[in-house]
Amino acid sequence: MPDDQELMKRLKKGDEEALRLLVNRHRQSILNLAYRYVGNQDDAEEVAQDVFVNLYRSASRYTPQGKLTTYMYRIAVNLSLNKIRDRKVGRYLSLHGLSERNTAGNPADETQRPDTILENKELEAVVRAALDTLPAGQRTAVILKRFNGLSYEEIAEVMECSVSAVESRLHRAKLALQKKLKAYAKNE
Amino acid sequence: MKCPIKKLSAYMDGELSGETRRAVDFHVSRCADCRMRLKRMRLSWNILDALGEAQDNPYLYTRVRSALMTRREQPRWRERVLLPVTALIALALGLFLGSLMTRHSVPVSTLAENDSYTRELETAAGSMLGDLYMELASQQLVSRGNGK
Repeated sequence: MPDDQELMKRLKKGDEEALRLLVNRHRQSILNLAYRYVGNQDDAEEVAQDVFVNLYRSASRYTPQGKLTTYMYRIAVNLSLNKIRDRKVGRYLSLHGLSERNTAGNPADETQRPDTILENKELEAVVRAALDTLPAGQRTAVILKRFNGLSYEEIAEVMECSVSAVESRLHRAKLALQKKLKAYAKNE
Repeated sequence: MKCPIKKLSAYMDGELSGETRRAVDFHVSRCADCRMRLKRMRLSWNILDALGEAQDNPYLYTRVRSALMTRREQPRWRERVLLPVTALIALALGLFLGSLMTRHSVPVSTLAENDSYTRELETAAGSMLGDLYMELASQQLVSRGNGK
């Protein structure tokens, strides 16, 4: 099985089979990355599609420095942020509102969410709302660390910043998330 | 050692190495507050799992290919921009020239007036020429008579 760099060399020459292999190899991680930013399947697929279109178009300018995934993640992060900016996020319930509902102890509220599925959906909305309140840099660092399992050095490459900046962003993000998700962390 | 609060996040992520990691390790083993801080941080970190994953789309390559084909088929900027702009300029120029010609041309009513005036002039000129002809003819007759 040819490695990513080999496939990129072939892609430079316009080999569409190389593109097919790259898409099939990386589509799930790119889809997941985009999904964690944009929050819905349709937008995530659109972002993932554009990531590979960009990859194909920029293949001639691509220079193999580090992993290809780092390069793709950078494109995916930028496109996801653009997508969020375009549609002006804010359609999710605010964390503040949800926290009040969940901690109020109102019996009526309990009947509104009787099953686990609804609880999970709600928890997902709470987590997403918490993530959305983070500055873009902190959010990116959290997503790349928590979900893509990147090292600080790799995150620094994707974000084009220093390792100490990544460390600082993650530290602040964790403190902020801890504060916002406090009510839920107790139940764990 | 003072509580290494700023290092706890990197410690949790296994990103500290060598001496720093050992120092934080030692501190945490003796500091209940830092252990609590770590525990809270881990709990909120684990809750992020609730975010879930995207569904796989095995047809993503088909979508990518289709997007590439569509964008290839789209007319280039010359056809998209240059042609309409040229057509617009040509149209504007045509309208401008048309308006200029209209402004400097004689109205139809004036033409009609001029036509009757021309006819009057022609009549006047004709009568003048007739008079002149008659005069010349009579002069000629006189000179012939004198010659005899």
